[in-house]
Amino acid sequence: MARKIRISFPGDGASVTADLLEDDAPNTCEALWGLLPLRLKAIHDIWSGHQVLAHLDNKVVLEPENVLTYLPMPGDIFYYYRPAHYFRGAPYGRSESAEVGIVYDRDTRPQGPRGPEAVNLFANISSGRDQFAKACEDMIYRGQKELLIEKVE
Amino acid sequence: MRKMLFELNGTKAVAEMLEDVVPKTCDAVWKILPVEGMSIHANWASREIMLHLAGDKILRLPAEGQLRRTTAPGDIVYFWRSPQMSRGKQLAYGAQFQRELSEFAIFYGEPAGGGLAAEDPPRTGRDSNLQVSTLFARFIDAPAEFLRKCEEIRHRGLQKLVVTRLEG
Repeated sequence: MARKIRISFPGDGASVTADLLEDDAPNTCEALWGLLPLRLKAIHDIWSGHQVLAHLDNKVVLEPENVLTYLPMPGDIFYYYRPAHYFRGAPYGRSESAEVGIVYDRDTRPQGPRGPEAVNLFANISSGRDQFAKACEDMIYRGQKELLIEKVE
Repeated sequence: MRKMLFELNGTKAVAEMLEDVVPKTCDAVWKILPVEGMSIHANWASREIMLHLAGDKILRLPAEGQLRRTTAPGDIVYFWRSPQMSRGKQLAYGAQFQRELSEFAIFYGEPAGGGLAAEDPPRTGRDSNLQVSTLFARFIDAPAEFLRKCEEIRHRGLQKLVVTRLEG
């Protein structure tokens, strides 16, 4: 049985449960599981559509895995890493970044200035997505929110 | 060239209209000034904020000028999208924006790709005349503090933006 994680916006009372995709992304799942619990600042993406991001410590550098997915489905959760100076320009291009991304609705494609980016798809939301999606979209209007990722044991 | 003043959260920037390139769009925009509203950050089009045109300020203009697929920092674009292009509802938009979009799109920083997703023809219907995207002005004086306030909308949420004629 797949391990599960809970992702919450404590300020909104919205949370989801997600199944880790351990068969497709075993190394990413193991690495992320080992970091939990995580309390992060989430921010809405500005390139990719209906997607929010939370920045991890940049030391969390994982190899590409299960990266055929650059057309994710709503509910998909992924890990993404870019090295410093991967893109041109400040503030985003020059900085190294390790991130967890959550796709909350259709019409989403992880991407940056150069186009689509392949990401490590490692989990999928199995319950509670509707209310959680509203809390994600609300970030467009209200800005950043605190995000909590925990093990479900 | 006519100029517009943008005021955002205590900061100001000046843009010049591209009247020699898109005179009809510039005339139409000039007539509705001043406009104000809560500006919102883009979630497809990179470092861009938008100001929705509301009520009697809504513009429904035909395309003018060169077909354009990318943007640069400092570009200000008139954007219209047909109601049938939209899916679902945008939570915080006024009712009139839940289907149709009429807005200024303000590209404030680099990278301002602006087109890779926002101008994707299959997704937008641009090639079916269901969308108009006309570059009509560019910032000629946009202090760093103004650009930082644009960026802050992503972090803090909606902010009031006022656009007026700059005369004299």
